[in-house]
Amino acid sequence: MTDEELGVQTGQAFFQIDRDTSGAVDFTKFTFGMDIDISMNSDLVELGRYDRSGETPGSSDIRINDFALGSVNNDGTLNPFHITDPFFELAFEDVNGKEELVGIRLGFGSALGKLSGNIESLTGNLQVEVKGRAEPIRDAAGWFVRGLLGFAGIGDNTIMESVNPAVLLNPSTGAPDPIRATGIGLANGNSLRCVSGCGALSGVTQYLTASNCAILGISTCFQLKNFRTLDVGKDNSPATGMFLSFQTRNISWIDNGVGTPTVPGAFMNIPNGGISVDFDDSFNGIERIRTKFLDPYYD
Amino acid sequence: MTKNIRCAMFGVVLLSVAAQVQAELIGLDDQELGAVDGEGIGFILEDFAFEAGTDVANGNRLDISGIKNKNGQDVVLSVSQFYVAGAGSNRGANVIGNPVNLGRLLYPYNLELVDGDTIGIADKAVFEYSAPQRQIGSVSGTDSLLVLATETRTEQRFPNQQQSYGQRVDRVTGIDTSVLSSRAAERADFGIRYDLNVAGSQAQSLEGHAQGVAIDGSYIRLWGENNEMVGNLALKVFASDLTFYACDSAGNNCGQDVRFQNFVLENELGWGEKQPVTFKVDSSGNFTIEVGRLNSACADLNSSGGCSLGSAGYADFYNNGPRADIHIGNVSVGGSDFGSATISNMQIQYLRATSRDL
Repeated sequence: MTDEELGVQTGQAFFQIDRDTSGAVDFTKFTFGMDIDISMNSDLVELGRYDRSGETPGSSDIRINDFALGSVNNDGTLNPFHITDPFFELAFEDVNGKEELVGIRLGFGSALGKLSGNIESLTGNLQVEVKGRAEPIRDAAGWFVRGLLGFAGIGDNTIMESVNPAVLLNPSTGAPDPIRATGIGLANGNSLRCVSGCGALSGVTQYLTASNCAILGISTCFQLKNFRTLDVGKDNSPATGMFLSFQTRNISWIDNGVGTPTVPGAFMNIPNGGISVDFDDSFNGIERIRTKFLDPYYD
Repeated sequence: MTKNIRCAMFGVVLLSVAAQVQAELIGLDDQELGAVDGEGIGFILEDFAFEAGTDVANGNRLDISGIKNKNGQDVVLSVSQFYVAGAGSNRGANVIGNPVNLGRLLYPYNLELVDGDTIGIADKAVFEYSAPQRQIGSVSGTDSLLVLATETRTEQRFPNQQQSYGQRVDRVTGIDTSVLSSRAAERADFGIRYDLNVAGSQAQSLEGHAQGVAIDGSYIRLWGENNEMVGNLALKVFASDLTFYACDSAGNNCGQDVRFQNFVLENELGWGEKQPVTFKVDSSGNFTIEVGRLNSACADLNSSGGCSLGSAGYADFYNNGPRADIHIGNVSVGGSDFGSATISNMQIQYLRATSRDL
């Protein structure tokens, strides 16, 4: 830039500081106006490795092996992970007249792309929309249930979805479990509903609720580590509200006026609507995409 | 802003000087410059202590203004109570009379013109600013502070598909400070205080203190390529203890310490001329940082974008290329421990970050 060009520049608003209050907690947020493309791999991302009551000794709040952002295309080019407006935020609380630092989080204004890894444990919020053709459900059902589904007018090409998103849970009991979760699926009480191609009696499915990881004997809970590559964002639209945080107490972090409750320790939030899978993915997992030019999962 | 500075420098050492003096200055081309090596300056800061901005209430601070919040109100971020001292600084209470040596004669900080051929940058003279070099650790076996336990991972990318096999980092089992050239007396204590003022009203205060800090192994390398400046960076930081705590708007009634014990950051950006790092500012005033894209160097591609022929270059990158490791031995708040945090063997294949107005 010339001196003249530099001379007409005034404070670029690339950096913003905001202060908000929610209940007893004050927040100070530092936002950077940036567009970031990144392609990276890491052997290990592990946060909060300490013994925690009720959890497996030696486990961690978050542990992801062979973590990667972005992918390699079939033509040998890179497909980076897109991030906009990264921020970090501090949470403070007045406790008995003392100003306490009670939380810190690193987040993104929006995120879009492939997130890969073997998720061994996850503390956080991962809500996945499950929607697609009913064929995998029929395939997973026994002959009797398949007959009932057919009687209800649910064929292979019927489009179904879960009433509520799939969530982190205990893969044995189906109980929601946001702390060091190893499973994901339809929590107890969740159900399926018919979206299109429905028969006259298809509506009955939403009265058949998940219990102990099954609906009519069809498994509804899955190992988290089977989902090797997640599409963050949907239909090429970025997901908003993705963050990684650490807090010493339950804090509800605020984004656009909406709070996301968190628990003490390390926490990862992948927002509602950020990830969508079909029933084939749900039952079989998601194949890990190539993330390196020389990739042990492929070469 | 007034400053209270006590600074003493006892040694500036010229490591080597040009052997010949020419009466006429003649420009050197890249190849000639590329053969230049070893001319540089090593320097140390001996008995160094620095303290500034102690009297915050009377404006003894650095105000960073021109920042707005989402409502368009003015926000001022003030920096004060910055200090550099020796061990036992007691969070800035014991700075003057408690100096530190930054570098020593055998392991100084260096400003140097390096022969690029020796560091993977052919036929270039490379400007290098470097901290004291690192040693091979007696426990870690590398120049990394992290003692790593590896595991053999045999996992499939999908049922009935290729099984991944190989050694990867499982966890950090220790910190090997024998890697550092800086001895305990050469590791500094740092501290700083931040105050936030929103729309003319004092809002918050936060203090941070670091103990036993060493940046051995860090460097900046710069050279010219296609009429632009490119470089490689390495930022390697060790602090035996990082402490943060919040205080009220007057800097009083401070809360409990948030402590990071054995903080290690080992971050390399760029890999010689194969993956240079560029920094640009455009005519709008915004900037771009780019870590070069690894272009396909395969002699032939397979159907998924990998190499069916000629993968040696990538093997070299993944085995020996730049990497980043971040580790905190333990996070504690008050009397509660929240354990360790580790990001290990992170390798960037491409990064482009561009600023824009919010």
